Amino acid sequence: MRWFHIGMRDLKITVRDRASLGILLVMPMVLIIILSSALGNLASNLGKTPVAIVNLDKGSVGAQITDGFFTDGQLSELFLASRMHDPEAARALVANGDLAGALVVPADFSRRLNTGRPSVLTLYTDPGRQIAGTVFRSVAESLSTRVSAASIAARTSAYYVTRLRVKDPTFVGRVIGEAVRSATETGALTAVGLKETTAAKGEELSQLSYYSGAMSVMFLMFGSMFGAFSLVRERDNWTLPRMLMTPTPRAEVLGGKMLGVFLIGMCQFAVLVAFTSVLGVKWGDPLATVLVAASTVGAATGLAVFIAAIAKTVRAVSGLAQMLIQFMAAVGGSFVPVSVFPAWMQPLHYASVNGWAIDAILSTMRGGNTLAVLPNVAALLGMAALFFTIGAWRLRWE
Amino acid sequence: MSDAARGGDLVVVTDLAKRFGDNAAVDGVSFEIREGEVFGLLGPNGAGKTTTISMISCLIAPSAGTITVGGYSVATDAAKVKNALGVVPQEIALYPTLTALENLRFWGRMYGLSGTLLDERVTEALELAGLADRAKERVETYSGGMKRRINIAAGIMHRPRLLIMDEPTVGIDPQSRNHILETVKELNHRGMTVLYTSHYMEEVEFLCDRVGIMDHGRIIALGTLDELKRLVGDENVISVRVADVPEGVLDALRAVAGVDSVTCSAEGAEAAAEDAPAEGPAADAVTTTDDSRVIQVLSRDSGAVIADVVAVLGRAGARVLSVDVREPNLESVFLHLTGKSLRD
Ligand SMILES: Nc1ncnc2c1ncn2[C@@H]1O[C@H](COP(=O)(O)OP(=O)(O)OP(=O)(O)O)[C@@H](O)[C@H]1O
Ligand SMILES: [Mg+2]
Repeated sequence: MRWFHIGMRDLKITVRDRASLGILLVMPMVLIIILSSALGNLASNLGKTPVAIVNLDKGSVGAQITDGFFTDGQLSELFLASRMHDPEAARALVANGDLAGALVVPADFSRRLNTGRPSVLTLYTDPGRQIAGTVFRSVAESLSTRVSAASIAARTSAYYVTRLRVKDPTFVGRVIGEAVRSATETGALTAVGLKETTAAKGEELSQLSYYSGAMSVMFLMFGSMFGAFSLVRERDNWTLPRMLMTPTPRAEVLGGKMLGVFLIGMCQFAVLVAFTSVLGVKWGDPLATVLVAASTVGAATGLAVFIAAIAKTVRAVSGLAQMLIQFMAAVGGSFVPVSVFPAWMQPLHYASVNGWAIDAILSTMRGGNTLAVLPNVAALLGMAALFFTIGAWRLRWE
Repeated sequence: MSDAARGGDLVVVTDLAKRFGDNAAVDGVSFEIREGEVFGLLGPNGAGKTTTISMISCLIAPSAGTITVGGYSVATDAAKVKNALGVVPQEIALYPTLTALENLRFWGRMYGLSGTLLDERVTEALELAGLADRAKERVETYSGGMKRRINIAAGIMHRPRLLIMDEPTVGIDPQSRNHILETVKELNHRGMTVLYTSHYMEEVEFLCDRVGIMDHGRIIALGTLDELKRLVGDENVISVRVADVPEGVLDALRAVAGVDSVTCSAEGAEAAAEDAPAEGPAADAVTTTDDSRVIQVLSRDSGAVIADVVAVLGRAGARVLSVDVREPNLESVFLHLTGKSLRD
């Protein structure tokens, strides 16, 4: 059990080390935001969100829904709405990033509702602007809920009006108005469906999701550098020799150091997943994600031993680790997706931890399951074993 | 239990050697440590003390020779040897961002303690170190002397049969040094055998029953304090503190009739070196500001020579601060055997 205490001690030391936390947690958070907004215009969320309203409805319900974007004070503060008449043109503007979203009300919207049939609003959102998209969707959702409530209420009132044979038309208006209000307040059934379509291709992930995966993997690899630092420092500070002079076997000391690197990496990953989830990233199947994370952190752990064995000083560790980490990040797609590389370069990503890990994370984010990531997990564990074997063989203890 | 009863040999080192490339760090060393004694290894920087200790502690393998501890060979029974040892390294081998309590709990666990026994021993060690009230502060906020005390505490919680201390007082204030020396005495009274290395001969004289004097990887003298002092014969040490050492004055002194050897060392300068106190309250910091030197002159006829020595110094323009004549001590033994000072 000594290895467990060694690992927990290293976790504690890291949690108290601001410099490590800055690199392991704050830097990836900042980079995820910068990269995804630089490439996906996330920054425009800060100003008004440009959206298009395409109201093709020949009746009045469509206007009831959409007028709010132009007349309501709160909504016009959030959105810079423009009226358009061509749904396809609106979709194209969303797709190329000029608009954050578009709401399309179909031509038969009022007629269908008034005859008691469900209808569908279409919402286009830009996957690169998750936050803006989320806000736009929730506004559209609440509008459609209100309309469906109103439509049910109106139908019900109309039914009573007919049954009671009331002749006074203002009475009907009043009854309907009353019914609409009460139904809206109590929140009624949804007669209007909202169909959301991302403007880009269906399974394409947002920049934010992409960089959440890519940067998390890159900074998990920095765990290997800190792990190697810790080993080399302990060797220099005599705490490693001191451990070896206690009855603790070498294997247990090394095991404990590796457990420390592993625990730190898993905690780091958990924090980054929590952070990006708040921003709206969907990581997908939890089991697959945990497996991929554990095997990636495992590879970083093996790499820590490898680096500590090759580099003898803190400076050398820093140089070697950064070189390896940057190389693997570059060829593995942590900076730009592998798909934009020239064809001859693409196979290189199989030579990096990042390539296998990012590939697996993206597949899970797109809805892939545990089975789909098993080859990646196997490749990552293979790398972990390779790094560890070379490292443990070459490691100098005193 | 081992076959070595109290008074028998707990440690037997025979023809021990360690080479680092061409450098013979330890070069054919033999000695025994008896159960219950404080054994001192005295030697200047680079003598090979730490290397010897590292081999006894199973940290590095000897190039040649054998070591047994409690009858177990270091080469074949390392696990059993390590169980009998508590090692206090020369460096402060602690985790600076952990508290003293966390450090001690960790090292206690490395020595196999757990549960209430661990709690008890940690508390006991903190009290022995005199730091129970500051146990929950990070070690990095401690002064050099306090760190040293925790460094020692970390090696004694499991009550080892043999406590190995490698220069445990390097660069600390006098108050902490006294505390540490008293602690070693106390542990020895409780029955712990101690291997103590130092290059301060005062410490070794105060603590040790028997002493091995090391230089250049060899033991050049071995015995009780009295036995060692007898080596010097009736030579006395004339110790002159001077404000400065003018060029050529040492050679002039060597030319004085009746003078056997002359050395010069910067006393006191070293004591202040390592003890740059950590930030925060550190009441026990030392203030050694003078850069005076101590010239030591060995002579069989100190009474006659002393006037000539002072006269030579005066002519050379050296400002003499104090002069005293001492009975032979370990310093003069070392001087006698090697012609150089323990500290330089
Ligand atoms: N790992 C090593 N590699 C190469 N040379 C070493 C190593 N360890 C010690 N040495 C050399 O061996 C010699 C003895 O060193 P050692 O540390 O044992 O001396 P010491 O008596 O403990 O000195 P000090 O009082 O400075 O601690 C020195 O010349 C030192 O440079
Ligand atoms: Mg030493």
